[in-house]
Amino acid sequence: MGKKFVVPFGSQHVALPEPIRFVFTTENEIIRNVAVDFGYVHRGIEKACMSKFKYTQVPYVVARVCGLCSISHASGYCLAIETLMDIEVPKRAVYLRIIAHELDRIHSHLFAVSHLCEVAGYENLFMRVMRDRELVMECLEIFTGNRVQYDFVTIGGVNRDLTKEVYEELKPRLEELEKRLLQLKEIFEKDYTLQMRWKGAGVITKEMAQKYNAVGPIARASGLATDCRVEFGYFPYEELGYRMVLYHEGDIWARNMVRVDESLVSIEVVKNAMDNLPKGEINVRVRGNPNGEALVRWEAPRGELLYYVKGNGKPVLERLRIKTPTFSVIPVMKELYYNQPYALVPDITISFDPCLSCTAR
Amino acid sequence: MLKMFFYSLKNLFSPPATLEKGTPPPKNYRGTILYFEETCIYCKKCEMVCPPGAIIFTYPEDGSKKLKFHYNPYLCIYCGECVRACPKPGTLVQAETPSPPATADQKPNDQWFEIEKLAVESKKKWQEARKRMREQKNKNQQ
Amino acid sequence: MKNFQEEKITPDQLREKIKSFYKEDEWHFITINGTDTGKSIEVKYFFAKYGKKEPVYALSLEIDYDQTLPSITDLIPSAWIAEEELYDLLGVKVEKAKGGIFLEPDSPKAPLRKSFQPKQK
Repeated sequence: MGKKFVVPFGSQHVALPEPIRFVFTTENEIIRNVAVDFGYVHRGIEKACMSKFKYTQVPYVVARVCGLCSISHASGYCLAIETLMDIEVPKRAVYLRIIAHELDRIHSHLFAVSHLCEVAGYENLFMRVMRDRELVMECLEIFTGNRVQYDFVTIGGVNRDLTKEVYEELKPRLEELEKRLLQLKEIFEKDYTLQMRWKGAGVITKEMAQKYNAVGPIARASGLATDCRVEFGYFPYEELGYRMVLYHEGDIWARNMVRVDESLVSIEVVKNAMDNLPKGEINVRVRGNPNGEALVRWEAPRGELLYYVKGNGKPVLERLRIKTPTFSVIPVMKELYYNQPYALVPDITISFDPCLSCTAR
Repeated sequence: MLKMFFYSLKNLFSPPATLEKGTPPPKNYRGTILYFEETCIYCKKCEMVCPPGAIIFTYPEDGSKKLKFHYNPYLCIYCGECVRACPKPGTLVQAETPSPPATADQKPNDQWFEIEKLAVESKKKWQEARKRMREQKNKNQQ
Repeated sequence: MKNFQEEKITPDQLREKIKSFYKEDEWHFITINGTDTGKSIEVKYFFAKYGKKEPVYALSLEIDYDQTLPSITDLIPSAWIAEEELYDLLGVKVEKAKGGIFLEPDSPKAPLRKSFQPKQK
């Protein structure tokens, strides 16, 4: 029996992108007890949307909850208001929304993959993935006007159109990106040092994922087939060549491969959508005030996002509730740390891809 | 692992991948907002629609209809809602160059707080002046 | 128009109702939500099925401002985080919830209630 030490994995740490605090009680470097604290970035966005902003200005406020998944928040809110007020969006706007969402998913997944390589110590590969990610950022800047916060989605459609010059600029970049991603996938499957570090570490079994309600790439790496793009059924993903990616090992290596494979599927979807764009308008006028309640489940890059909206006939909403994917995954994280060696903690935390600005909004 | 070694050697002898300072932004970049006063009808729709409140109108003291337009490029989020809400096309236009950066001797925050206070006070005085003008007109007609 | 199924129950029937239909490999628990309507607080529990295209199923209750809700963490182990949020932000008393995760000790209490107005400049 060794002596028990208390070690904080503090709110500011070299390996963490966003502030979260764990307090571990360890014995001979094996973790026996965990305490969690987040909420360092609580800004009161739900209260502001219920008291200060009108319902037509809320998409711009809500897009600033998170930096990496900003279009998922704006789109989830707009889908909820359109369901509540019975607004019919034209088909061209639906296809343009799909293109922006899938490009956003590629850049968020590549950011997570590169951060995991950096924590493993392989800085060369970290810089190489970031360089390949620059191709996607250039695509987004030509298409929407900005690299990170694209104010692209409003109630009733989208703001900008896809012209012929933009199509000529996007196509060669996507072909180049697909070649480079296939080379990266080969490195991840065959490299000797990464396999020694990642295979068999931090395993989540399928029963544990079902018991603690895991969502997103973490559930799909353990064999649990759940994806909101299939279950909610608003966007026509099946006809654009989408397929679900499933792995059964459940360790850090499997979560990494799920993200790389999903990026390849997204490039396929974007190319099909750009070739088959229907003709028509890009947005519809909106009149009146919302009255009633509605609910939307949408697939952000990190998992399942829920938006619940309630209005009572005035221009200011009565209740707006946002449930983010990292909020659902923190109980799984806390349960996984028991009886693991302390040296694996940064790898496990970054393989979950936590986004704390979303959680403590 | 051998492939990564050859890739790193090739990178050692190639030019850097970052862009030089001073490269112009691409086409259709969301830049600063420009205002042309000749076609404006002072309906104030742009002030009602702006999410962060970066457009403010101040009122003249003599009760005439010509208001003064103020724009804060450091609060603006460049979404373009004001351009789409304006009923007269050509009054508000979004350019393709970014706004110039702020320096320490421009004092952007202090001047903007004064403009906000001035808008509230001048609106009260303008409404009183319009009431007096209407009563004068009623007396002249009788 | 509303696009989910709702069922109204009382706080005493909550635990039996969840025991009767919740199975771990079929149902997915999403979250708990609270709304302040001015006279009482309306609490809703959201559930969905794995892999099927059916609408979301919700259980809704109505409680007073200082009533205590029973805890469901022994039936659904991942619900502790949603109950802590109800206690911190809305002031709803739930068994075994201690608070202190979202808000610091020197911040105002229960900011999402209608009676709390933020200070103007």
